[in-house]
Amino acid sequence: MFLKIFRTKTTLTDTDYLVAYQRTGDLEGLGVLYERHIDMVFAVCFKYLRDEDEAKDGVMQIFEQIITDLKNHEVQNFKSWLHSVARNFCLMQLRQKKIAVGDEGIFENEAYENFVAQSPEKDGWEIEHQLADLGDCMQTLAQEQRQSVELFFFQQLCYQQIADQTGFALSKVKSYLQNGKRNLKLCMEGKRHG
Amino acid sequence: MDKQKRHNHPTTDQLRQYVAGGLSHEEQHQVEKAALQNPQIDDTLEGLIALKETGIDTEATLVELRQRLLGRVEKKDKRLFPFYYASAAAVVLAVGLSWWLVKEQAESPAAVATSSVNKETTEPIEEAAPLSAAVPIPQKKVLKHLK
Repeated sequence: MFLKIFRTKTTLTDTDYLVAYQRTGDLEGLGVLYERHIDMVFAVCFKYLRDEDEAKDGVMQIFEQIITDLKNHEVQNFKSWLHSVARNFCLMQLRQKKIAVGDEGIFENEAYENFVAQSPEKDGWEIEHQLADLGDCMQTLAQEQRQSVELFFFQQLCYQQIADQTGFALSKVKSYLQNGKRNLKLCMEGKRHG
Repeated sequence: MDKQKRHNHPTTDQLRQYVAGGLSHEEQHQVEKAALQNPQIDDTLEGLIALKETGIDTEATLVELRQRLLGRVEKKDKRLFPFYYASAAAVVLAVGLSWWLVKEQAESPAAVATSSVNKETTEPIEEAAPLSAAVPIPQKKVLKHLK
């Protein structure tokens, strides 16, 4: 018992803590694991709720939720699972309060995430076709989007450099990129399916 | 291998450095790229940026949250620890008591003989002994008569 408490906690992985919690129900271990990611949960809560006290309460309520959820859920990657729990919790809070959040970015990334996640390995022939399609589709983008995509993905510049180089507002660069990627995806899918 | 390296997710500390303006252009690009591909990183980054813009003392808030979490986790422990101590004390007490009893019994035969309670039970036995010793004598006589 005491040995277990004083064993160096930093050497244990998230999965070690998860397995231990699911076996013993020991809250102390789960607390250590949650504390590792508490800054992430707080930041996510604040992004959605935009209120310090509500975000703090959210952090504590999400801990209560995972105490029960983890008893029934098989979790492979704790951090990304915790993020999903936190985001769903916050969206539910917002829905309950019926507050319209002026954040166009909430669901915006999903199309691109799916695009990234589902892009299968291609053989050389397919890649050539895709590159040709990509070239065509790049030409269909609005000028700001095309320029942002080229500078970010091909020249690997950061937002600040792109803003400096193009004169775009820093806050706009990200949305040009997101919209550019979404349009590229739609265009590429259109070409693939004839 | 290079592919794996490219997919390494930045830690929350690195995201904080990004927000504080402490990363090189190349590192910024890596963080931004990871954020575009991973909603967890994107949400965290946007949260950290929003916190910075609002001017909230995130460090103080996190200290408070960690204390609240510790309090939540310890509540259960406080209930559990006395239970452990109580059961440990009970075991020690039980072992000690049985050891004492065994020791007491091992030392007792001499004491039993001299105790006043046992005197009453030993006297009848002493009386009975002459009687039982006397019995064989008539028996022998009878046997002789029979012969």
